[in-house]
Amino acid sequence: MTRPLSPSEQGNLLRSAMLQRLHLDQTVYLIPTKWFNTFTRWTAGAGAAPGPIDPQATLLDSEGVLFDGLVEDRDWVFVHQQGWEMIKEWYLPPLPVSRSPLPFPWDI
Amino acid sequence: MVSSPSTGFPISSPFPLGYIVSRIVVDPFVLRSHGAQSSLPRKTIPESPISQTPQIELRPPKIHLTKITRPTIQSQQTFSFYTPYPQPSPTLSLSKSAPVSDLDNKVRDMYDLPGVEIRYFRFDLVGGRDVTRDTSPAKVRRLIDVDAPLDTSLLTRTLGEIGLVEPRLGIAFEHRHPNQKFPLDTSPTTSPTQQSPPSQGHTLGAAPNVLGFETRGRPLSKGYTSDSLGTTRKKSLNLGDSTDDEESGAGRLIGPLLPGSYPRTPDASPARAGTTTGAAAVRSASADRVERRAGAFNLRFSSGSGFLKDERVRGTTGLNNLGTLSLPKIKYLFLFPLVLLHTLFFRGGF
Repeated sequence: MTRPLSPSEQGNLLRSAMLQRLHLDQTVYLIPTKWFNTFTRWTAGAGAAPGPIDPQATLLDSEGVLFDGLVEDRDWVFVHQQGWEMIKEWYLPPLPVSRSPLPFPWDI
Repeated sequence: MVSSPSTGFPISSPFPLGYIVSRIVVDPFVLRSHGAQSSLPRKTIPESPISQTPQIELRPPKIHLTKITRPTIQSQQTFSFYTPYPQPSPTLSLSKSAPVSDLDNKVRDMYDLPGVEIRYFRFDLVGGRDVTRDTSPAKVRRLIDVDAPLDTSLLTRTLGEIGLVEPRLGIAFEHRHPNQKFPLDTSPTTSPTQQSPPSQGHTLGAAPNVLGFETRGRPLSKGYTSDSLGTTRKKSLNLGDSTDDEESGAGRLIGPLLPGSYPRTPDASPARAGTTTGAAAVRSASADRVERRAGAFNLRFSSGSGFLKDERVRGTTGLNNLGTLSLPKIKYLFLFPLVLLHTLFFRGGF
């Protein structure tokens, strides 16, 4: 079992992953700047740990289209595939507790 | 023992196999990928078709699709009032750098249209415009420019190159099989009321064709001329004396000239010209007001002005605008013998 990374180690890994060069036909992932600032403060030893990333509420409208007028670094930052894999591993939202049990198939 | 009311099979275990399978297969919360729920992936595209500089495409076009279908032809054999519930239009999210073939393939897959010819039209999505999965030619004509289909002949072009760049847009498409016509080519362009020519009369409630009455071969803006200084001045409408109007036929537009009147043009007014036959033109109210302001009212009737009292227009509105017929007083000399003869022959003497 691997040892959980410390906040500073997480910060160093993610920042180095964000320094990769951008290429054509590459997939990047947008992250709200607010979450990234919280993460940076936490890795520096200040503030609370960041919660799960939820760009749907802060960057997207009801139809899933990015808000018009958003600015890089002010509203969003991007990470490459490698950085996104790290974030998924560290900050996936917990599995929700299942609701009431489903009825039996023959009772539906 | 508890048995199911629908099947009657006994339930011996609190977690039967059907329940477990339903929890795994049906419940979306069990199988949900949480990483995919929170990700916001975007692709990097070149800044321009000839550039190699990557750029993150923040707002790729989200395309609402609608298919143009022929309206159902009601006949005696197939007459149905059934109206299918309109389904919402499917959406595609494609990159501006994606080739046209991607759009074409996805549309063919979604609507199951292999091996047919497809024609695409784009339209703007304004507000919360409801777009359904299928539409009729009459409805789609209000959205699209029928004469400007998307140029999808070259499938290697990108969506950005054919103009699909907005983050929200709609595409209406129609298809045809070989040796058939597109729905937009077979449906009428306008309603039958608008198609009927004016020579066949008018439908009740329709606007009459007033074009001929308004123009009569003369442009409406003829009364306005622009001089060399660039200023626009109103050219007075000459109703009888102007020669250019007679040449253009404008004098005939008004109708017969009325006696006991004079033209509106100030230069030709009898008060200034002094010698004008009163049975030549019509006098207007504005000309009368201008003349009254120009001098004292009684000056018009003075003998020195050359304006006879009998020739004065008594009014400018209503029937008075017709003027008065100025007959000489010698007419009574001709009337008197007639009355005398009438008395003698028909009434038997005095």
